Amino acid sequence: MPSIKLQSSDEEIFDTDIQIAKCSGTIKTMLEDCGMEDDENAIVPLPNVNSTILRKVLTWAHYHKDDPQPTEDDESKEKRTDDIISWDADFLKVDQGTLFELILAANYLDIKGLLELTCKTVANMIKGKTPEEIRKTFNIKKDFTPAEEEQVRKENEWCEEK
Amino acid sequence: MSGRKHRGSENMENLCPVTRKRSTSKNPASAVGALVSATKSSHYEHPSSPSALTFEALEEMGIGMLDSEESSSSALSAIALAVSASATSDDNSNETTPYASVPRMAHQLQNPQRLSLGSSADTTQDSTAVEDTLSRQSADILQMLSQSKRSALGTEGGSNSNSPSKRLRNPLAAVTCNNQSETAVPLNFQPSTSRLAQVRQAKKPSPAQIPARLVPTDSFFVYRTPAMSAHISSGINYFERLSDETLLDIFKWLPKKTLLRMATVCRRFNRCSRDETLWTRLDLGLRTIRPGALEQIVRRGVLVIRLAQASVQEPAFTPSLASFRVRLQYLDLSMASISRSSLRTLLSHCRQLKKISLENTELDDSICTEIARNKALEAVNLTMASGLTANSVRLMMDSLTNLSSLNISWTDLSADAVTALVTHISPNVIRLNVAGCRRVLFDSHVALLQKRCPQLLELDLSDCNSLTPAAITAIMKFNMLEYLSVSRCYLIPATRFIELKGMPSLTYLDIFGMLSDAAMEVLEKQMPKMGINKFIHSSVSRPTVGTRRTSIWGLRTRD
Repeated sequence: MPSIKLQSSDEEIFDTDIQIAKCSGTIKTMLEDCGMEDDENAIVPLPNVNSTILRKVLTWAHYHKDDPQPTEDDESKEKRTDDIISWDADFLKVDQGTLFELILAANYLDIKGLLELTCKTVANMIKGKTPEEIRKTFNIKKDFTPAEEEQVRKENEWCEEK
Repeated sequence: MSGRKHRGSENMENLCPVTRKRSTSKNPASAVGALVSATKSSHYEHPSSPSALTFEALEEMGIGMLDSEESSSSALSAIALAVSASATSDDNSNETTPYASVPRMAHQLQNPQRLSLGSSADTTQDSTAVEDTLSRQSADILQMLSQSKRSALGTEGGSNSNSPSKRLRNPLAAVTCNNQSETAVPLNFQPSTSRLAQVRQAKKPSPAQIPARLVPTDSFFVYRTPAMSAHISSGINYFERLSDETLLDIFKWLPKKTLLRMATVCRRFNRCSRDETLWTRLDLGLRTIRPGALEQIVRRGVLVIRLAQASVQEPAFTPSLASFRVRLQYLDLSMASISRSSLRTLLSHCRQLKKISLENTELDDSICTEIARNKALEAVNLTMASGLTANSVRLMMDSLTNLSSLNISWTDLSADAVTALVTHISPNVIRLNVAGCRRVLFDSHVALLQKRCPQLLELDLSDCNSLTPAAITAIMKFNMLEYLSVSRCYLIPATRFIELKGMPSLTYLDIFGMLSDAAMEVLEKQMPKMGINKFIHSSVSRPTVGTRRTSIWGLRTRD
């Protein structure tokens, strides 16, 4: 199968099956627009992705290479986060830094499935936590003034707790 | 687990990079460092381990993995490995691993999958000469360390000092905290089961010897709540690296209740959680809506909202002159408890409504005026609503020219209101329910309606008990009518229903409460193709029908 060379930000070269590389919309566009598909020695630079993350991304893409293309129709789809397959769940047993790096990479490389998966995973980390627990978990600083906090609290209390 | 590993290694082979920048090293000290991390990696099955043995990577893996959302199962398997090793060689189990494995470094780095197996085997062998090897190993390792203190210690400080706590995270988890620094002396944190911890502590030279760059300046905290320690990170707010757009990609997977909670976390979350793309659909059926909340809700840009049987507390809106844009298109207030003034204010902001249900709510002329201003309305359900007048009915019927479905049953209309209805209703209406117009809806109204809306598909005239057989004659002229209900129209004799056989389009006929079982049998024989008494409840303009309670008019209200 034809392959291409992807270069990470730290200048590591990844010889990658072209079909796998093309799960990235960014790479696909780059290849098609620059006519690089037939050039065996062409190197696609990916300055926003380091080798550690690129390796993970390609591992994911390899496992999911036969997945059907995600549909564009976002509206009709039900928003579930409990449908993560176990391979993906294991794949994302990484530290927070790596998880967010993967989100950035999936976003930059335009890999819908991976972006969805990583975002769902973060959403699952948020669910069921109190605001204080969310701040602790993600090292978020509470930057409200007391007056603002009171205002925001009021604006976001809609229903009586059942 | 082995199956998964296998697959992982297959993937690695396939994706193996052409150039490997920092692969194996001749330097024994860095080899030890690398090995230790490789060992660790194999325990944790970090897929990027084979060629990613940079200090940065180790730090990522070391400090980071402590905080990752690692399942207890893989942590347990790591513990299990350690325990099985120590079962044979007791004290030195963890320590033998680096020593015995050094000669096979290169091979093992290529194939981390086999590493743990090799380690166990080595351990078993060594157990025959525990005392001897222990001292020799210690000496060897210390020598290596001194040869290349810098790299080895860097590695150790970066990753290994955390490893005992990682393996034994719960219930006591040690967590590094970057903002605590220099002077802090590492807490002597030694889980009782961790031999490794003791070894590390013993081997670690005094902090003064360690180059400043590589000093593990973190102090330890002990968190006692497992639920919280699961995700605690190294002090970095990674959300800051995401654009608002990507933040919304995460937020869109959160339930509405969580979104509201997110707003109170910080300013940025507050701003982003209000994005209207997150609030397209909302189901607050049966809820008690706090004072002022309805305004917040509609200001979020909700398109589809279910407030059926909700109780809206006063005041629903803050008294202010500033107008705001409301995107509402589908509004279900069926059986809701809402004051007329709040309903009026709500509807005064709505101009794009397509479907509305005000079943069993209190209306007045001003509310109907606001309804009438939503020219795009296609479906209106006012069944059992109170406060309709001839004027308001006329106004709505004149304005709502796009109406295709109207349920105005049991609204206690006056005869004038019924006249206004049948003479001003949009000719586009194809489904109409005017049931319950006792003593105010007459045969002449049916005739007028037939002239106004000849293309009706569905007509419910049940409990309009002033209708006489003459109404049947008028009904027969609807040549597209598929459904007709004349239940409990007692003035129409049963024999007249047989005439309806002459309507080719008519498929369903409801005549509840009119015929005995015997008479029904006769009728069914007369009209074998007609579905008789199939629908107890009318579905005209109703948002929820049957068991579909979370969709309104076929649109989901939940994400």
